[in-house]
Amino acid sequence: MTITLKNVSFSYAESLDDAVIKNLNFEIKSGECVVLVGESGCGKTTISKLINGLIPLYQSGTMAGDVLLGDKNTADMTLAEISRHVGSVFQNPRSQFFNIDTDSEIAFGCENLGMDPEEIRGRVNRVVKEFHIEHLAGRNIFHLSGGEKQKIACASVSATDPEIFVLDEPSANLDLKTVADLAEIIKFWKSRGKTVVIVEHRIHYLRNIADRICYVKDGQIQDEWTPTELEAKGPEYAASLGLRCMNLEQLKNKVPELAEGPEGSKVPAKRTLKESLLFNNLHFAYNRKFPVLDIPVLSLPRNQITAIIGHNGAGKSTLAQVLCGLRGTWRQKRKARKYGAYLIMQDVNHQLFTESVLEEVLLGMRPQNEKAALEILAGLNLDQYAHEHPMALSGGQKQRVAIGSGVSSGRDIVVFDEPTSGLDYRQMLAVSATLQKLATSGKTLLVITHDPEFILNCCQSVIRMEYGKIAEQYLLQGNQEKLIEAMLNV
Amino acid sequence: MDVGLAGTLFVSTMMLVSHVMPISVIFYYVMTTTKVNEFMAGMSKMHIPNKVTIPLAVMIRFFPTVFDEARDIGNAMRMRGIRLFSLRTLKNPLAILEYRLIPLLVSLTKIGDELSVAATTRGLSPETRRSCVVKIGFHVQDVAVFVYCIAVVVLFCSRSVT
Amino acid sequence: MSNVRSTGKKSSNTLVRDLVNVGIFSALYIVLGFMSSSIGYVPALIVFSTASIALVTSVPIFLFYSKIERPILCCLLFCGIFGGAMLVMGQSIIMFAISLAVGLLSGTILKIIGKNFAGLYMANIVLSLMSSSMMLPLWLYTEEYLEYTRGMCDEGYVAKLAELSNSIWPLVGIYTFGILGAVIGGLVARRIMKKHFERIGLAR
Repeated sequence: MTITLKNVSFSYAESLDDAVIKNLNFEIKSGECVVLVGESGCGKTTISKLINGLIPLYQSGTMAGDVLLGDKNTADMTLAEISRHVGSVFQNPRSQFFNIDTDSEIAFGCENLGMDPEEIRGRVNRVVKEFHIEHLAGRNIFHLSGGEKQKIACASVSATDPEIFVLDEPSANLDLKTVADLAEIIKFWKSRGKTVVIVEHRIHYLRNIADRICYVKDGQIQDEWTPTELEAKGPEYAASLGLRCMNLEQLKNKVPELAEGPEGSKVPAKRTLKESLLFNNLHFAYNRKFPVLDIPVLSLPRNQITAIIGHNGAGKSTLAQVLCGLRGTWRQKRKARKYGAYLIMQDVNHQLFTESVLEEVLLGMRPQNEKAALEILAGLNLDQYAHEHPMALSGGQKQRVAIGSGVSSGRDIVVFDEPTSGLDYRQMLAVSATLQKLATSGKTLLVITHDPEFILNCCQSVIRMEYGKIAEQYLLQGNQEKLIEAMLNV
Repeated sequence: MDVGLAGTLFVSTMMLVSHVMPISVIFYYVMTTTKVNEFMAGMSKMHIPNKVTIPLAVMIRFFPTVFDEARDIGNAMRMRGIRLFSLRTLKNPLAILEYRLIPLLVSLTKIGDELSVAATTRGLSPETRRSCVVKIGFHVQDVAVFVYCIAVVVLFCSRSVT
Repeated sequence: MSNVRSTGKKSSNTLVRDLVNVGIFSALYIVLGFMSSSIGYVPALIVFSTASIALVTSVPIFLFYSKIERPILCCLLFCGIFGGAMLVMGQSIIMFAISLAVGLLSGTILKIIGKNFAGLYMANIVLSLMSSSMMLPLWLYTEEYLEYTRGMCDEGYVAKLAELSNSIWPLVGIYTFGILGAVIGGLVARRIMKKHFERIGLAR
């Protein structure tokens, strides 16, 4: 089924004056796999909404032009009708399931189409086999990891057997292992002759799958490459357009930005301090036999940025929570309050409480000092937003507000839970700059991440976790190859 | 014995609790064990329109989400040193309500918006008739349970009469 | 430019959004309602429990009202779900009927006055009648209630209880405090809507 966008303009406002999409003409042929890339806010997600019919049928705004699926205009169809032809997977795994158990969720789309129960059962079994998710059958979705949820979401749209799949940043919250599984799924769809449209920042996993990579800017398709072409241009070219790396292997030669560490900028007094922070007996278990976390000694290089890698379920998040005193025994929590680690959550919306950025920073400060708070904000380039509502800011700014609140609480260790998920190249650079500044100012940073580009940009050492233990810990300098290998093969 | 107004109200509250408790437990059990699609199929068998069924189904799915989100927000507050019972919060109890409620509402509405988008693109519509993988019907087991319940009630009534 | 048109206006496609919102806010209302009514388990505060429900739930209710596009349908469903849940949990059928009436009335108010402060404020006050009605059986089924108590407590106590239920005043108190809670809660909610949700862009 061919997708045709004819002279399409769209604006989320009342008039077309500041349109997100401007006079777009675009055609995707049947069986093609097209990746839409571009910086945040360029309009690529809007294009995906045009294809799955959310625009013009659901999203309020103003539109001109037509979108045709085959020869039918989406404006004349209902969303239920479109769902027979187009299956959509979204970014946030936590908010796109309607059922509580996996089996019903996979059957959900088929049930909505009113298919025969026998037929649905056949389809569910087939999809479970095709996707190799037998181990997820009959589980409570609330107990699954983000990657597993995303697989269920893919399985669910696949069960209705649409001709077109639209994926909106499906890998944003996934580790590299699950991303590889996602790549298998997309490859499978492609082998069945399906049309696949993917909106994505991380494109390396689509290297052998995509037919076209379309660069969207200002609501227009500005450029178009095959993956091989983009790869040949090298990571620097991609970075100049604000795109992520096409092939992670290319990163093996990249020299870490902080090979020397921010030593030169360090205040001399800090150097006389002990070089490493030591933590003893970080244990956590739901039952005695299977410890989730079992680390006798953890040593963190002081005033440096350390990355924690490892596959989902290796205990990275648990380590962060124990360090920050959010989990563990009463004694562990009391200890955690003393050495004080502060967690910047993946969903920073959960840690913004007040009505202005300034108050947010003042809230955890003892004693409260407005001048010091404003200094912290200036350090994070937030001083001009001091009186804005934190939740009205952009994602990156929100994250910096959360960092500010951590700084003001006076804690020396800041732990980040996947600070770069779903970010484009430029945003990622901005985050790493913030983190470096924080390390220079005397904080010790620990970053849980699945993002090799980010690690190479701002970390000095790496801890790899496995089954709740530290498998290895090494300096990044000279070990780039090891890092990329480890991340690709987790 | 003169127990006063407070005592009277206490006992009546306890009565309410003892009345409501068993049913609350059953309510909780039903909520946590009913599959959303079975529930929807059952409702449509009873000819209850989708407009009623969809919000109910969303509600069942949302109870765990409300507690999950509230826990995350509580964690974040603990890290800031804002505790539910401290001198600071006692001075300003409305502020603590605000700190808890606003992030919760923001993230719940966001999840809700994303959920309705995901559900509509997967063909959920109040106008179409759904089917269900699981066959819902009145079977021998149901008759057995039904008879058992009636028997218990009858037994109970006859005992309290004598 | 040709065929410029506004989108997302076709009713059948956005109905799901309203229905999902009803579901979310029902879950939230029930959870918050139970939590805030729990102060009623301190016996001296029982009369205030309705006020506390109205006070705490005002903010989410304001947000709910400002998000829905079909006020009558959504309010009816919202209150119907609450009443239905209460029915399942052992409340009387009268509670359910009151819920439906409250839903219809608050929906109509929203429809007629619109989603401005006056509309939200009045609809929220009407809604407080629903949670206050949970206490109604104590007065409606006095005889059955006393009969039941007689089996467990001594005569003096039952007499006291009878005396209490003879008087309509505690019931009046419960409703008055409920309304008072909504009156104050509405003002708090307006402040919070202005202070937070309007600035975030969640509500107009």
